[in-house]
Amino acid sequence: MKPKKFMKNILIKNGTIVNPDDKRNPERITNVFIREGKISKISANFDQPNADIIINAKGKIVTAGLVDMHVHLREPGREDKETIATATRAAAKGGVTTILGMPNTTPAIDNQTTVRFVLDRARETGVINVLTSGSLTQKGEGKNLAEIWELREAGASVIIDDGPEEQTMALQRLALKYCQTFQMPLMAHPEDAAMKGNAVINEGWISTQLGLEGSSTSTETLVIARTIELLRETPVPYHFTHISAAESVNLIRAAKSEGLPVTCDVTTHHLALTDKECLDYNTLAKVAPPLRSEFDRQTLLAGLADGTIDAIITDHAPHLLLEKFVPFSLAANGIIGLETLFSIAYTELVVKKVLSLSDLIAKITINPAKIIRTKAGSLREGGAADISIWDTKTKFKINKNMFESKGRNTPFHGKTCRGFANEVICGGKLLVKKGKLLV
Amino acid sequence: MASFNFAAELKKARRAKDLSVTDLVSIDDLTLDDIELILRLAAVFKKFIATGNKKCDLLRGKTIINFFNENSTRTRSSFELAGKHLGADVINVAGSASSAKKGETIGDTARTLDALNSDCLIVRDASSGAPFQVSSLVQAPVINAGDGWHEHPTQALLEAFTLQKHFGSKKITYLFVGDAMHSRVFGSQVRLYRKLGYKIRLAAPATLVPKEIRKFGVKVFYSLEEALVDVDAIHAIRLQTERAAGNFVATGREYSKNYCINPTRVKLANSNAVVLHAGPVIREFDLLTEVLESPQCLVQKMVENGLPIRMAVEWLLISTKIKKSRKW
Repeated sequence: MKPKKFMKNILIKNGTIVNPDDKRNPERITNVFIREGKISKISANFDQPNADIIINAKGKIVTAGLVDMHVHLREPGREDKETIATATRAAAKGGVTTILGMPNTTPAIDNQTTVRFVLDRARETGVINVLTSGSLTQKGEGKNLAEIWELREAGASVIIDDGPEEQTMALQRLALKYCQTFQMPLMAHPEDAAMKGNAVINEGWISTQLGLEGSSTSTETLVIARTIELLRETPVPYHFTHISAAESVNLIRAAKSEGLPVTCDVTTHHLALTDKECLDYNTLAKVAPPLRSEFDRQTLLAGLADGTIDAIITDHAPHLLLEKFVPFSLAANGIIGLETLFSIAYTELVVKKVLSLSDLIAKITINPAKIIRTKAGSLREGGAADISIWDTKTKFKINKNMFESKGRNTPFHGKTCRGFANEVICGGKLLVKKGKLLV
Repeated sequence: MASFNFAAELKKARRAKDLSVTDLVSIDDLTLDDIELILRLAAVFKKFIATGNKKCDLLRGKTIINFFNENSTRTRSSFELAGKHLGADVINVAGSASSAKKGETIGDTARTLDALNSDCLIVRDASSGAPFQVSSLVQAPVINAGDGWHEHPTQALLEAFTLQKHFGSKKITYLFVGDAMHSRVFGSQVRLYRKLGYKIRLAAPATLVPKEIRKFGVKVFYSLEEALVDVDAIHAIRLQTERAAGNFVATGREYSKNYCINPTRVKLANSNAVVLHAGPVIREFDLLTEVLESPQCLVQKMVENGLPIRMAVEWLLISTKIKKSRKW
């Protein structure tokens, strides 16, 4: 963040505030006044005709800036794919003001030096709030535990080895106890590496038609089931990221009702697409875990609706075009999402009546913020002025060529959506105005 | 032989028609009319070869490139010979292993091939989908000569041609035996025989049965003995010995005890049943030598029929009037 002195004050007028964190007043038409980087007043009766910037938000939705708890920043190491500068600009354009970076960079974020590097770079070059996770194991290889206490001291928010699980059950058991020692929340990418083998797609009718090696949903559900068993022994806060299979929803629902401290999220692509998207060897739909069947997708939607799935993420994974412009089995895994998070979620969930607007906003603001223990994700007087103002009425087509991200690897190019960020404010600074990035 | 007027027969068989496709990458893309046209022309080319002729000038001045990113002897020489019989110039470009593995994109590969200005590309690749991807990026028609576990369309067409000679247009009961999961020949055959209305069965251990294979109209049996009842054609799929190492079957020995086609098993099928194999045959694992060398076994005929089928496909695709419009 830039120094806060001489900051302009901003008045947002007549917007429809959607703030699920405020249980008494989750939705109302009101004004928001921003001063010195903070929300100074939320009140329909408050006016400030001399505000430096006045935003007329009539007919627009005003929310806390979005929180995306799963982003691949690629810096350090693969600055050709993305940098903290470009990723945070992409986030700002998409109305996301807080992101959590994954630790599988080069080198991996398995040591305090790299944590500090990422957070420093974010302060120097980022335009929004950047948090980082740290590796569970050294180099993320699943063999020896990383220096988790030091990672926490240096500022890592959570611990995760993002990538198919290489660790043995014995190591996982120790990891839970080690994290318990330091009260460090854990995240996991539940996919068993050995079971997955060389699979590149969901195992099913599509993989059979394409002649590609498929991975079964049990590759994911077995890891979740065994983790739940280990959590009964060592109940530490545990978050399963990007679940993809129907049975995963059922396992986590049962674990929650048992009182275990588990949470989970789903990506925008898993809730919008199925493995059919891979037909014609569409490498843009190649992702880990793979896109699953319509049955799995419907079960994920039901899990979102009944609250089993707490958060929605992007798993923003930028790649070079050439890494996708190869045969399917050799193509890189991943989809970018920071600039499509809200449009896809709003179009697929609110327009299609899977979730209320307030429930959707909770899953992309306050819920992930609580899981990763950051103060973001809520609109409250005295809190940081991280705010996004949404146009949810105008239809538009997603255009990857307009992205701020270096990545172009999205299967959503050309999709007609509703819901884009008209204005975005982070730390009291206006970053996006009328859909245009100002920084 | 004087009674055989090649040009007239060819004209009559073609009926001034083109295939509905500009590439042959998947049997899925072919209509029944397309299949009939290919088989009709193959019959004429077969007769032509039988008259002792080796060369016609249908494709004189045209260039065909065999672009093989994976080892092949039989398929490559069959395509090469087919092109030469048609009067075309054929060159072989061996992209040792996959160019993609060396970091070349499909687009660059396609651009290189396009720069050679050929009239037809025969593409084999270890990666499923590579010929499809190439076909959408080059001007020339592309023929899939086998991609990963996906398809090998001409191999299926030559077997259908062989079966048609034997059974006419009868909708036969057809049994696959063995590794359907890793077989691209199976991928093309199952699509083709479904279009032709065959009753399709598969006998294999559950580890080698592709997921949701029933959607291809295939009835699955674990017991070969049960599967053989009322069968007209038995196709043994090569046991890829490297798969045994992956624990898809315990050992080749045990596999052959349950799934090798031996004379006792052949007797369980219909009395006029035929035995097929796409080659190379692993003797005593896939087929017992006794069966392989019996008159019921059409393996040798299939190899012979590869030539006219590939001549038909190459001629049809190179002489088509349809413009390409495929997009990946």
